[in-house]
Amino acid sequence: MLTADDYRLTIPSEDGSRSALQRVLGSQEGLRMWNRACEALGFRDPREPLTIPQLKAVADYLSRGGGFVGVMGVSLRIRLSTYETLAGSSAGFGQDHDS
Amino acid sequence: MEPSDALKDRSTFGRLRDQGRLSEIADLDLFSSETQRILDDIVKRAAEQLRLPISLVTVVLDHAQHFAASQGLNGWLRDVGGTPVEWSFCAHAVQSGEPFVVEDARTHPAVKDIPLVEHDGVRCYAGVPLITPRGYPIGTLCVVGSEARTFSEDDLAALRALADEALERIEARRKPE
Repeated sequence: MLTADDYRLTIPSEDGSRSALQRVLGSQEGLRMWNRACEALGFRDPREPLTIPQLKAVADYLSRGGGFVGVMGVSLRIRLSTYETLAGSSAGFGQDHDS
Repeated sequence: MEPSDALKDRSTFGRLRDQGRLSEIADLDLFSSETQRILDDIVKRAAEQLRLPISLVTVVLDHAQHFAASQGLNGWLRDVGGTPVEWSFCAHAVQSGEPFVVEDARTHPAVKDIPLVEHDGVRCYAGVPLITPRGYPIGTLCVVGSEARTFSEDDLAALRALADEALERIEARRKPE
C-alpha cells in the first residue's frame, strides 16, 4: 500500500509556502504579500505555525486577488491538495481513493 | 510539501517564475469549468489520434501544474487536478519552448525518478508547448501512456495542430485590457 512517504512528500510548512511566494516576488514583497493575507484572515499569532487548513485559506485568499499573484495562489493550493490527498490515500493511476 | 532542490534552482525551471508569463496565464481565465468545456473535445481527439489513454491540456504555473482539461485521468490525479511542478513532464516543454518527448520514462534521465513514473505507471509522454501570440509558453497539450513507445513526426504534427486549435479557443476568451 502506497503512502505519502512513497511519494517523498513532507508536510507543507508555512516557511516553505511563504518561500514559494518570495521566489517569484522577491524576498520583501513576498513577505509583505504573505503577511497581508495572514492579517486579512486573522492569522496573527507568531507562536503558532499555520496549519494546513490555514495554509489553504491563505492560498484561496491569494487566488482571489487575481493577476499573477492569484495564479500563485492556485499553485499553492494544488501543492497543498496533493499532499492532503496522497497522505490520506493509497491510490495511484486508475484507482479510486477507497480501493 | 517542500519544494525539491530542482525547484529552488532557478536555472532548472526559472522561466516558470517569470511574472509576465504568470500574468499572461491570469489574463486567459484558465481555471474555470468553461475552459474545461471548450477544451474537452481537443483532449479527446488527441488521445484518439495518438492512440493513447490519457491526454491533457496542462497549465504550468510557478510551483504547480493545473490540468485545464483531461481525458482518461483517474485516481488522485483526477481528484487534485494537478501536481507539484517538480513532478511535471510538461514543465520541460514550457521551459524550453519546444516539444518534449519521452519514449520510456523508466530510463529518461529527466523524468525517471519522478513519483508519477515510479508509482502511477507513466511510461511514455509527448507534449507540445502552448505559446501565446505574446510569446509566453503557458502550458502544453500532451498525451500520456502506460507503455513505452516511439512518436513519429506525424504524431507530433498532429499534436501541434490540435495544440494550435486549443490555443485559438483559449485566446478567444482573453480578458479585454
